Amino acid sequence: MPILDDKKAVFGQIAALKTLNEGYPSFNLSNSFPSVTNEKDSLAFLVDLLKALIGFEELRDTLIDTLTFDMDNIEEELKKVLKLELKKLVSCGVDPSLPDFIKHQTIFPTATGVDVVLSKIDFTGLMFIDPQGEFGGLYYDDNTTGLSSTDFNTYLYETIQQDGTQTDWGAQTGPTPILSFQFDSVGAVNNTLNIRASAFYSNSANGKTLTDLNNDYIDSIKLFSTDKLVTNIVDTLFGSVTVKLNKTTKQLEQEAAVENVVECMLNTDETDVIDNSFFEFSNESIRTHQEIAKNRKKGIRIIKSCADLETSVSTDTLIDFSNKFKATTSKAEEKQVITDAVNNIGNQASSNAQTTDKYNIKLNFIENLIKKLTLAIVNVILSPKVIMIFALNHKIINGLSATMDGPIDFMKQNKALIQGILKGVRDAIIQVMLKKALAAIKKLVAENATALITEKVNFQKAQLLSLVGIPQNVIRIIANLK
Amino acid sequence: MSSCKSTQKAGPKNGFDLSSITSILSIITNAFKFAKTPSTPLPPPLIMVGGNLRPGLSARDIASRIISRQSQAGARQGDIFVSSNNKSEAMEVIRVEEIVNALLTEGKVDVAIPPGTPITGVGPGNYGAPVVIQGATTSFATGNGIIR
Repeated sequence: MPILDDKKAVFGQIAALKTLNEGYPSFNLSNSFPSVTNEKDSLAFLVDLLKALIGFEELRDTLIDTLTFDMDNIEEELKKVLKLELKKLVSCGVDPSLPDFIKHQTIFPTATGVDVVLSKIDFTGLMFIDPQGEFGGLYYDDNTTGLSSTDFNTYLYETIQQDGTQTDWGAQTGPTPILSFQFDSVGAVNNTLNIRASAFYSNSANGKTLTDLNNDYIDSIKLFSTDKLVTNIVDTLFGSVTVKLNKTTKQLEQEAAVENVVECMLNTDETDVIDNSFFEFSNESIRTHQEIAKNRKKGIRIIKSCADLETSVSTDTLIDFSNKFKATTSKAEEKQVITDAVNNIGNQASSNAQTTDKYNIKLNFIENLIKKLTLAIVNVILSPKVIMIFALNHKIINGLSATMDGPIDFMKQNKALIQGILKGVRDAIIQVMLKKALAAIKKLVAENATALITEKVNFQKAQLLSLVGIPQNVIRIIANLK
Repeated sequence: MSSCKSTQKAGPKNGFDLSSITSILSIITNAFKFAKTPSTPLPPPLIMVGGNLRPGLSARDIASRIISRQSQAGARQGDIFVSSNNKSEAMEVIRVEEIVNALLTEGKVDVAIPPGTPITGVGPGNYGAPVVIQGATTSFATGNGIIR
């Protein structure tokens, strides 16, 4: 068990150095660090390592810094992954130009566009949530500006409300419209979204290829914002919003299955092959998904302490955070709002616990925020703004009858995309944490090295004095043995 | 969360991968390493003279020093606050006695003298006059010692 042995050796080294430098052992390996197993999840291991090295407060501050300053870079990296995967899809096709059937009717009158059943691109039922409703702000950005919204999901919701009317996406965030959408609640197949290239992209005079359309579309959307990610994680953990939205058990089980796949993919090494078995579930796994769904539907999270403890976080806390975050105008303000929210949520989650358990519950919450950040980003990727463009490309390449049945099927058909996203996010977070861990280890080792040199000099002196007949009590003072 | 299935291996990959637990463990493990300098040798005449002045190892002395410093590590001293004897202190005495006994009765010191060690000798010459010779050893020499 080389991984387990190596992990134990690292924690053993830290324990030894801390005892030597600070005079006391500071942790118990058996129950404080769940990652000390043969599992390959490097993020979980680094979280445990930082717990041992820098403690709760610094771990929380590292997370807050990541949420404040690193999310833009992560988004940039993910957009590169999305473009690359879309390009791979397109390069499988013979002709990289826009096919006539997806062109705008004003340019190519017989073009039919691509019809997609709404539920096949909206796996989580986002389009049932009104952007301007009570919880809209928790799911949509720029949620009050209707069709002019710079958030594609808000724009799509508003398009659906304009049943039978064609609207354009692209000019909200860029120079020209890119795609045109029309929702039809009644037709040969009900609740269908018709997708076409915009008139500008359909006009061959503008020389736009399918790759241009894909790249420009990805550039036109904002993938995620920090408040949505925190909301998503808190909802995954506590079901805070789920309980109010009355999501179906089937939907929640599907979300638990997505979480299962993401965790298993995260728990692989660089040499592991992700095959189709990652998307199939044993009876035991299905039972676990059902249990998670049941608790989320109740809006609670069970934490194992002396007895099972039910914890929850109110929706008001999340709405308050989201509103304050949207009102920020600088990174410093963002950081303050995120800090307050993380502290508030931690306090609320531990409010039912005994005083002795409060610290552990807060620590557990911070750990989960870090570990589930990748999952939250995948959940955002699984929203219509990203699924739509993949569904469109699948139909163009594989034929109009090609479909993706739910998020697990989407992940299965786009394994490389999901792997790329997980790797991108995980690497970015790991880079921050590894830097912190190495700095803390360097400090410990440097303190130990200094103490070692002093000890060596003192013992050399003591040894010399012992050879010229100096009494032991004097030698002990020189050797720093009180 | 549910358990994950075991995976097939794609074979080794070149380069560094941040997502790989083995890479992370390798970086972390290396961070603990630092170069140590060898200790300065003691002057041989001082060892010869001073060695004779040393009292030798005493299990009782060592155990008593450890027990008197237990409070520095937050360990309980004596048996004032409990009804029974302090077992950890009794254990400390046994531990040190055994270690010292092993060192004194079973420990062995091997000495290696490298070639090139300077030597000076005096002996009678052909006509009985003393002759002083100076030189250096030409091969390894070994010696045994015991710990006192």
